[in-house]
Amino acid sequence: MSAAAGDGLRKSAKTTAMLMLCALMVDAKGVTESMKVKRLGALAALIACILLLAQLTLASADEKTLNIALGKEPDNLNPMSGSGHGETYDMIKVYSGLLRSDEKMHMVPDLAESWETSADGKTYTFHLKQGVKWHDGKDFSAEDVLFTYDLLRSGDWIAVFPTSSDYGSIEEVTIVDPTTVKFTLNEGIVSFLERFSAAILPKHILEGQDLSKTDFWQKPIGTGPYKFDSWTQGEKLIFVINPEYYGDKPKIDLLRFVFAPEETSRIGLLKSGEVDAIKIDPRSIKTLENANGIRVYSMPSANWYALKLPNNVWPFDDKKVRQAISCAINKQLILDTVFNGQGEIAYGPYRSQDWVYNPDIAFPYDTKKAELLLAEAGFKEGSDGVLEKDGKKLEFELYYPSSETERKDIAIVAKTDLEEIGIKVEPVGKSWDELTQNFTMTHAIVNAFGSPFDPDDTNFRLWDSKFIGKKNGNPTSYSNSEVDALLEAGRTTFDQEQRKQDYQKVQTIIAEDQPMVFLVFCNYIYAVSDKITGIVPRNAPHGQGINGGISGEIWWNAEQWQKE
Amino acid sequence: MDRSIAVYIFRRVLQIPPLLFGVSLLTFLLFYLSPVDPVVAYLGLDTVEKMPPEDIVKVQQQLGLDQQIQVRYISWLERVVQGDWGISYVKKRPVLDIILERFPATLLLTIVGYTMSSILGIILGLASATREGSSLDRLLHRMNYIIYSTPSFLVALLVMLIFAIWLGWLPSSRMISVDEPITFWAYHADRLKHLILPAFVLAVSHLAVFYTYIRSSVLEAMSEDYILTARAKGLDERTIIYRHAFRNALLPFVTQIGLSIPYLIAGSVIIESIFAWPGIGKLTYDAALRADYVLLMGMALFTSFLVILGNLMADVAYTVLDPRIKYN
Repeated sequence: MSAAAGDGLRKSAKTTAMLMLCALMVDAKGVTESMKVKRLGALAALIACILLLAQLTLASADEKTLNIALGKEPDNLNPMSGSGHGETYDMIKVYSGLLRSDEKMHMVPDLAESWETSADGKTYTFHLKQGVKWHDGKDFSAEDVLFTYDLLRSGDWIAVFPTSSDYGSIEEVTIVDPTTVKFTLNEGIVSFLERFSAAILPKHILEGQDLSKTDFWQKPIGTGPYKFDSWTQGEKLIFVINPEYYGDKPKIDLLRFVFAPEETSRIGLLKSGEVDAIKIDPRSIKTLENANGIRVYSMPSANWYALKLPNNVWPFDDKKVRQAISCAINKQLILDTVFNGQGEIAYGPYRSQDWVYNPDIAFPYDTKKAELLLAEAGFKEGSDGVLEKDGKKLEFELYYPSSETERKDIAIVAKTDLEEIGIKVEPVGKSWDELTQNFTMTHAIVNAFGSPFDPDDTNFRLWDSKFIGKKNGNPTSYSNSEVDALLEAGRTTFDQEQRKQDYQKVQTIIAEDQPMVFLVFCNYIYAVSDKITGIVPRNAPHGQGINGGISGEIWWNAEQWQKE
Repeated sequence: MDRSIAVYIFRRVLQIPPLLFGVSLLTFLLFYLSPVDPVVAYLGLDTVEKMPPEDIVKVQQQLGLDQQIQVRYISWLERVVQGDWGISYVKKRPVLDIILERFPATLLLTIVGYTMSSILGIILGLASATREGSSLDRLLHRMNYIIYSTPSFLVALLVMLIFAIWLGWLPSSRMISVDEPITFWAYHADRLKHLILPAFVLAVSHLAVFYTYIRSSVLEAMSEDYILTARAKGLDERTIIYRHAFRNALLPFVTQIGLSIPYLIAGSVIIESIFAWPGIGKLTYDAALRADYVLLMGMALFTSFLVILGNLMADVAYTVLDPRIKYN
């Protein structure tokens, strides 16, 4: 908002106030003089009261308190209530796992001091840190590790830990000695290492409990850098420093999350200095980038948007049609208009931050080439300007979830661009339920996917032909035996250089085949007080923050932040 | 007469249990018939999309969603009758605790908002009715249309932008500052400051209805025969308006307030969301989105009980206002 416009509004606010006063005076007319005086007196008293209240200063903020305003409130503090590594790569600060993700998304030791992996990837041996204590003072031990992984792999609590079956490949967990735990798996999958970031839970508290009803998830006990302090539902959630923490001492003593669903009120809280950090819509950057004492951060994410085309349905079964659509859509325009320029153009499923990213797959926005490709595919212009082949018109409905405005905007840009080259597109909004239950396999949909984790994560299920027809995989029915072989090699080879080559080749083939029309990677935007230092943006996953946004956001390393 | 009121109240109290039963049955049916897939609502789409179908079946079993609807309803009813409202499967906390924790915030906001609204409505309605056709009446009447047709989220965002973000006079949202003041007076002053904007928006959103009611019922009363009689007796205009016309005009107004009780208790989703007010309206909305039926059923039971009670109180208030009304 420019200063001039702000002034204008302030003026008009004053005028309104004057008008209201006038109205009250008019109201007083015709009533006896003493009544009029009384009313004016009461009004003056009211105004005085308001002004007095406005003058009251707030208690000064504690230097070592970090306040964050979230748009959502977590349901509970179950550290594994969501999907896979997306949940555990940024743990609720109360807990810790054997391993954790660093700023490059690499796995590093946490509760484990070190670990060894066997050559076939079927045996993992973890050496635990010694002297670690639970927040209630009890000793952490290998028994807790065994307890936690038994809970997960048993599948008995799948409604509490929905990704339980990811741990099903663990055949045996054994305590070798009090500080050594050995895991034996029935298959050697490279990305399984990320599963060892699961939060370790206290056996002495949870053993024998009904995990679907326990209030432990409301006031948890863990081994992490912060202890749970208090939670006033609908208002605030407070964590305090754990003085016995085994890792680097956190620099923030008190971590407080407050909840404000409306962005305007979050901006108000940030501007008044009550909170230190918020997440904002990319379109709100302008309001905040020149504000005093506030810095805006644009954090990359692996979340990509694409037109998901059913590869086995006419006309998308022709590779040339998919390629033409991809060339004819102005991706830069989508990035600039829908995402306020915050992000990156996508040609494949890995972003430039990813270690397997292949920079050679980019191709330009080129409507001429698109027209050429469609001509090669046998399409000719019909009487109404729409392309056709064998009497069938090149037209389709493009579905989007009607609750997601950015996907609707993408659908509209796609429609405009494709009609330029003679493809008729009709954007249609549908509810999530309708889309997932009825249209996933058969219709063109504006979708979003992406993973910043191991390259195997998400992509194996998206592109491998053995997942065709399964509810939870390969939504485009894409089938390419070379890609299948490379994906299989990539997840079972432990040689990182070889893996990089394999996944780069996958990207080359997918960019050529365009099973989906990749459009853009988005960024997530945050506004943070300039008193805060130590912020490290890292590649974020698909989907909005986890646990209401306590985790999975720019404050993933809040314990390392410093406040002036 | 006292005895007849007591009998009336007793009869009405007897009606409460069957009413509540009906409400709970309807709510349960509505929930069952809604197109929302409770597993998707509970786990989130991202998670469900990655899960093998056999896992989803297991989740349904563990949540008890695979049972027949009548089995689920009866087991819920059995527990409620014994005083166990169940545990929210999203929040993993006892439902009654959650409701009672959030209810006071809603009550505070709505009572202050409605009091402001009815006082303003009475003042403006009277001012308008006693000067029918004057320029003031016309001005109020027109402003009334504007206010009535402005959605409250717009009013809320406008006042927040003006008074909190640009002028900085009042806090933008929440019930109390993030850093709570410690001393008694500072604490309550802070609470009061936070109450002003949301209560004002709530007041404005109901002002138009209250104003219209008072204006038209005073006008109606003014044309009654007894007003003519009063005038003929030579009473002065103020006594006529306040003692005779206004008192009779209050009757439909009390009905209107009685009708507003559901809003009073259920809270306002929009105002509570925008001002981050930790009340019951936002809670219900979230519970509905997450298909948390245990919590939803609890909310339905709780609010309908209070609504029935509130309406009973409004009926009793009639007899105080108008001695002619008798209940048999």
